[in-house]
Order: sequence, then C-alpha cells, then structure tokens
Amino acid sequence: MLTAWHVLTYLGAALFLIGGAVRIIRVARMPLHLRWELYPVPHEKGKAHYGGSVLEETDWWLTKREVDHWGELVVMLEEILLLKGVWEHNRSLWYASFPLHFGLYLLIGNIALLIVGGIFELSGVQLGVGSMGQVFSFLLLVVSGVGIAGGVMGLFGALFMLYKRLFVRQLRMYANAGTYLNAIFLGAIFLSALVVFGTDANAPQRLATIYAGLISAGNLPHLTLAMQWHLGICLAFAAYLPLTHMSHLFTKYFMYHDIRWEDTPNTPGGKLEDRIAAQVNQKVSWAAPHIQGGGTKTWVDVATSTGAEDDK
Amino acid sequence: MSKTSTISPKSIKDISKSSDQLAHVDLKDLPPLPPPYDDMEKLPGFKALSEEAREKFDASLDDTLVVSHPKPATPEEEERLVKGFFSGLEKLFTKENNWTFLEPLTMSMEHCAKCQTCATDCPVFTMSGENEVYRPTYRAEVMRRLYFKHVKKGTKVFNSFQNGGIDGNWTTISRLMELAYRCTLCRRCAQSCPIGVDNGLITHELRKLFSMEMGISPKELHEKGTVQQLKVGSSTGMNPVAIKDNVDFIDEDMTDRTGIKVETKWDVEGADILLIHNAGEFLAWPENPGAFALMLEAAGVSWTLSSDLVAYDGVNYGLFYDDAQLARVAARHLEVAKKLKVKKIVMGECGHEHKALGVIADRVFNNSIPRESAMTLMEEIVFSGKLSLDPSKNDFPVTLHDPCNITRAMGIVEPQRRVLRHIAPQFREMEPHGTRNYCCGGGSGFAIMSGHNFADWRMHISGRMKMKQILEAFGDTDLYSDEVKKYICAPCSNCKGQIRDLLDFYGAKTTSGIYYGGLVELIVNAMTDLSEPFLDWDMM
Ligand code: SF4
Ligand code: SF4
Ligand code: SF4
Repeated sequence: MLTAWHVLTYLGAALFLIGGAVRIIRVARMPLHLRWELYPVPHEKGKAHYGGSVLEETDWWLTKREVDHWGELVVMLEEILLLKGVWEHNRSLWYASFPLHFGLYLLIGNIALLIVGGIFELSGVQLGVGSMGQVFSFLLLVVSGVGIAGGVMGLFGALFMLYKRLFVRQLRMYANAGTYLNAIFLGAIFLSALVVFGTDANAPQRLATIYAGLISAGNLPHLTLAMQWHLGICLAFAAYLPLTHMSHLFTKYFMYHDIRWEDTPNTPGGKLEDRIAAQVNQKVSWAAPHIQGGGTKTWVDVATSTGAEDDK
Repeated sequence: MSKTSTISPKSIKDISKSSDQLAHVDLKDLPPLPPPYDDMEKLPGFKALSEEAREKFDASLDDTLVVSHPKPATPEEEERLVKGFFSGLEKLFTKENNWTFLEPLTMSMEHCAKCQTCATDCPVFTMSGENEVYRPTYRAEVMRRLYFKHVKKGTKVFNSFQNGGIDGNWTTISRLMELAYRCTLCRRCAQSCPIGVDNGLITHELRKLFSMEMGISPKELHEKGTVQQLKVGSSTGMNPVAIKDNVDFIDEDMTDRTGIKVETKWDVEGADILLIHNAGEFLAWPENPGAFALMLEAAGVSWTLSSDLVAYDGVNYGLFYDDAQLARVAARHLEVAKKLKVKKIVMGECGHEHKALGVIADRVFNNSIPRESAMTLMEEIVFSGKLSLDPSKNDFPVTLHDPCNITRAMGIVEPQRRVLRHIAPQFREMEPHGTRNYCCGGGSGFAIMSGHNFADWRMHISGRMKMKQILEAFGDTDLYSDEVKKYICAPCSNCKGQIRDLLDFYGAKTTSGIYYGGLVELIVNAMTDLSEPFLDWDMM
C-alpha cells in the first residue's frame, strides 16, 4: 500500500534529480565559450606537474594532441573527496569544510548501501542465512558504522561551519540568511542520522526493509520517530539543494572540465569550426557608440568594421 | 580631503550608501617591504586626489580614479546611466551578446560558496593591508546580488533570502565601475577556488558591460588604445611610415653597437614567420626588437615584420575590456598573416598579445594561421647550436618575472626557463613562480595608466607584492649597494612598464642596482660574435 512516505520520497528524489538535470542541461546547452583555461591543466601529458602545455612546443599544431584523462580524474577526486584546494589555501576552514563534506558523502554512500540492502531483502535473502545472508549481515553492519561516522563527522563540520559563519568576520560579512539555513539544514540531517543509527541497533535492518518497500512501492514497516525526522529532513534538503549554490554538486564537473581545463584548439576541419561559424553569425544588440549592434549586426559585421565608421 | 586612518567597508551593502569614500588605505597599514625599503617615511607617499577631481568625477570608491566618469549633471542623466547599466547586465547573460563568456560567467555567478579561499591569493587584497573593498569576492558579490535581483528568474523573496539583496543605485554602479579597475585580471584567485569560480572573469565581464553597452572605459584602453590602433595602426600613435622610420633607426643603432649588420625585413611574402611585437617596444625598449632582428638573422630564420595597419602592433587591449574591440584587432592581425602567406605568427615578448592572439582569438576565427610563442622560438634557436653563446657574459644575478598571460593562462612555463638556465649562470627563481606567479601589478592595462594619482596606487598597492618578490629573489646580494648589477627578466612589455615604474618609484636601481629587460636581450648579450656587451647598464 502506498503511504505518504512513498509519495514524499518519490517527490523528493524526483525534485532532486530534475533540479540537477535542469542545471546540467542548462550548462551543457550553453554556447561554446572562448578559451579561458587556467594552468596547470591536469590532462597535459608529461607537463601537468609544472603547469605546462602543448603551446610550449615548436609547431604545436602539428603534434598529436594527447589528453591524459587519468590525470584529470586524479585531480578531480582529490578535489572532491579531500577538498585539496581548501586544504592548501584555507587550512582553518578545511577543518570545518572537510568533515561537513565527507560526512555528507558517507551518508550518500549509505543510501547506496541501503538500496543494495533493499534489493537483498526483496530477493528474499535472509540475514545470516547462507553466504548471501552473511554478506547482507555484513552490509548492515557497515551501514551502521558509516551512518554513525557520517553523522559524527558531518555534525561536527556543520556546527563548526555555523560557528565560523557567525564569528569569523570575513565569513559573516558575506553570509546571508540562506547561508545559515544551509548550515542548519545540514546539521539537522547529521544529527537525525546520528540519532537513528546511534540509538537503535536495529535501525539498519529496519531501514533495509523500508528501502525495499520504497523501491518496490510495497508495504513499509513502522518508521520510528527519529527515522521520520531524518527522512523528512533529507527529502526536504534534496528538493532544496538544486535551488542553491550547493548545486555545484552537479556543475563542478563542468566548471573544471568545461571551463578551467577546456583547451581544445580550433583546428581546420575540426569539431569546433561549425559551432564557431554559427555563433559569430548571431545578432548583437550592444548599444555603445562603437558597436551599435541594434540587434541587426552580426559578430562578423562587428569584427570586420572599425567601430569608427561614423567619424569618417 | 586627507583621511587619517584606513577605511574599509563593513558590509556588502555599504557600497550603496553614499559617503565621501567607501575605502581608504593608510600607508602605515600596508605590509612592509624587505629592507632597505621598509621605512615608509623614506618612500614616496600617496598623493591625494585633487579637490577638482573629486568634485568633477565619481570618485567615492577609494583614493584614486581610473575610469574618471563625470558625475551625472541631472537626475535624468543619472537615471539614464542606471538604466544603461541594467540593460547591459541583462545582455551579459544572453547567448547572442555574450556567447563568448556566458558559460563561465553564469557558473561563477551561481556557485560561489563564500568560503574566502581565494582571498589570500590576491596580491592586491593582501598587499592593501586586506582592505575589504579589494577582496576578490567583494565586487563579485555586489555583481552577484545585482544578477540575482535583476536578471536571474525566480521569486524575488527566495533570491534575496538565498543571495542577499542590494540597492542598484548610481552610487553602487559608479563605484562598481571604478572597482572593475582595481583588479589586474591576473586570475590567481581563480586558481585556488575549490569550486571553479573566477573572480577575475567577473571583473572582466563587468568592464565589458560598461564598455560595450554604456561606452564607458578608461581612455588609455579605448580612445588612445584600441580606437587609435584601429585607426592609425598602433596604440602608440605610430602610423606605418613612423614605424618604418623608427625601425630603420633601431637597425642602424644595432649595427653600430654590435658591428653586425642588422636589417629588419618588411612584408616578405611567404616568410616562415610573421613576428608581431608590442609596438611599445619600438619606443620604450628599442633594444628588444633590435635584439630579435639580430638573433633571427644570426640564426638564419626566415622572418618578416608587417607594415600593414595594426599588424605591426601586437597590442590588443580589447582583451581587458571589450570583446568587439578584441575581435577587431585580432581580425587585422590574422588577416595580414594570411595575406603574407606566412607559416606562422610568432608573438613577441608581450603577455596579453600572447593570450589575445594565442588562445582567445582561436575561437573567434576559423582557419587562422597558427600562432607560436616567442619563448618557444627563442628556446629552439638557443638550443639549435646556430648561435655561439657564452653564458659567462651573463654572469650576474638574474631572476624571471612570469607574465600571468603566458604562464597561468597558456601554460608556457619551461621554454624561457630552459633558456635562462642555459645562458644565465646566476639565474634564480622568484617565489612563487610559474603558474603560481604573482602579477606585476600592472596587469589588465594598468601599466599604461597613470592618470590622477593612479600610479601611486599601482606602486604602493597592486605592485607591492611583485616588488617584495623581486627584493627577496635578490636577497642573497647586498641590497644596500648598487655595485652588483641585478637583472629582472620580464618577457612582456606590459610587465616591463610596470617594473620600470616600480624600480623608479622605490629607487631600486640606484639603491640596489636592480635593472630589468626582456629575454632576447640576454640571449644576444651572451653571443660571442659581439665584442662589446649588448647590455649597457648605464643606458638601462
Ligand atoms: S570565489 Fe571560490 S574561493 Fe572565493 S569565496 Fe567563492 S567559492 Fe570561495
Ligand atoms: S584576478 Fe588577480 S587581482 Fe583580480 S581579484 Fe583575482 S587575484 Fe586579485
Ligand atoms: S601585466 Fe604582466 S604580470 Fe600583470 S597580469 Fe599582465 S601579464 Fe600578468
């Protein structure tokens, strides 16, 4: 039987995914921008360690372009998992930011584990029975540990962050109502996770059953009060996140891969030519005297004039 | 009006509240330089803006003026300006008008976490004694709030709750206009942002809005810069006749000085290389193009200069403030290269020419003649064995200034170093260097701006970090004596202009014997074919 929790969960997940998809599609559909890369670019094979690029080479356009995807991946992972940039440039904030982010990753990881748990349950695997049952038991043990660790780390991070946002001058100056709400929201997620996993030894098992019910749109067991709170807050947060700057969760990839490291040269006959040709034929409406686009001139018109024709 | 102590905004919204000055830097609050430049009393001061200037222009941001926009005479004019600003702001976020930077700009607008990780990486902010107005995120945050309030779709209440509000009045806008010219666009801050937000880009876009929609920009960049370049041929004001005369004179002088016949080639069709210098070199540092001619001839390179309008000046100030002007200038450069049927363009010792022509123009024009850095060409020549070089001729302390546009923006880091390690036995790095270098403080056109008292701002604030780095790089020598000559190699005209001004301002040549110049001069100085040293310290 479908309950309000089913509906709320599907809604929360859908809003999260739609919100994220909208962000991603919006970025992906943006026009090709001018090159604006920033070195070091980690996919520069053999040169990334000192920030070099193929542009150092004689007749670089004749050399085969080698892109080191592995190099990109390593930098991306260090950045996402360890917040390396913050560690290097803003150490005191890292002590708050890292546990906050890592706590969140652990809880997200836990959701994935619980989905697996739900599938075990739906496939009739019984806890501790047979080898699959052993795996299932172990999985729930991990869920419990990860839940507690995530809760502790995250709560510490969220509170520390809130403290910093309130009492460190330059952070307070740039904070606004949303900044505080975000920290409190995150704090509430971690606190409720901690209560769920820290006070109820049966929580992982019960949660696996809940996930089985949610995945299959089947019956749900009773949700403890703590679980209701936890789930409710998480769902509200999932729907809210895409509306905020925290949507960098979805767009960070683009900000690194599509902008900071985007160095594809425009080679004759290459894949960029058509896009560029289309873009420079768009109409410009910039109004300054040296442009006077008026929505009728194209970029080509602008570039091939001097802007001072009127003076003649 | 003379302020007695530092003033720094206390909140973002302070920018909208009218006051004499939003910020003031008291010199005693600036981080000290290493000795013997540590006593502020003994250094030149910071001239106050004249009363007339404050009366006439919108000068309520800080201690200086760059844009120098006259105060609106009537409320109607003020309203027209405000309207113009918001119409430009909207256009910045349309793909037709700003396909060039729409994606990076939107991403930077919407994702800042306000963590301030970028702040300590900004040489302007840190060396201003951390005045809030110069923090990389201050102008970005004002811009962001205006964006969320006026451009971004969504409910006003949610946007202001999430992003904070701001009053987009003329006080805000006129201060933002000046503030767009207190950042050198060096993008060091963007390197440290964990999210990928680029505050340098935000400044760049702000400048574009003012220029492309409202026709407001510093005259050094626009009237005397790109407009003059497109009309007369060069931002120096030299037309094709003047440039040829000038180069003839340089050739003669080189021949006299070195005993080697130097003859610059003009408009050679089918040459391998079209070399484009920053034309400022011909006037301010003629030994640089002279040394290039000498080196290229000695190495037997097939090369030419162009005497076509614009094509003999690699300057492209459009890069700093206006996409239309950028495209116009780059178009002329590329056109001439095609006409001459050269194999490649080599970009001379000019950082922003490198970036404008080397990477930015890449996506404005299809099928262009390829561009290569002079750093690469110099490395190729030095290691080709075609020149006979004696490094002991360069046996004095040499350090390298990395132009941001060549390193951070293009990843051209090692060629110039390999050359220096080879020909300058006492080469030492500045710290930090390479892609993590600090801007000279003259970036984004500042080096050519000295209106009102702006030069004082460049010397005391934006150039302070570079001055500190230079002194530290020569820290193993006696900085109280000018006996040992020290050389800052700055392979960029713009940076050289700023470094020249810094050394003059702080008296570092006479006090510590610190000189500056390009890279090619050191190569020629090491050539065994020259009986006399090429570098003439007395003339530098
Ligand atoms: S620009 Fe980046 S580093 Fe700076 S405050 Fe914003 S998110 Fe932090
Ligand atoms: S671009 Fe450079 S000068 Fe501008 S805010 Fe960033 S670090 Fe500072
Ligand atoms: S002037 Fe030189 S150091 Fe400064 S931003 Fe430009 S290239 Fe960089």
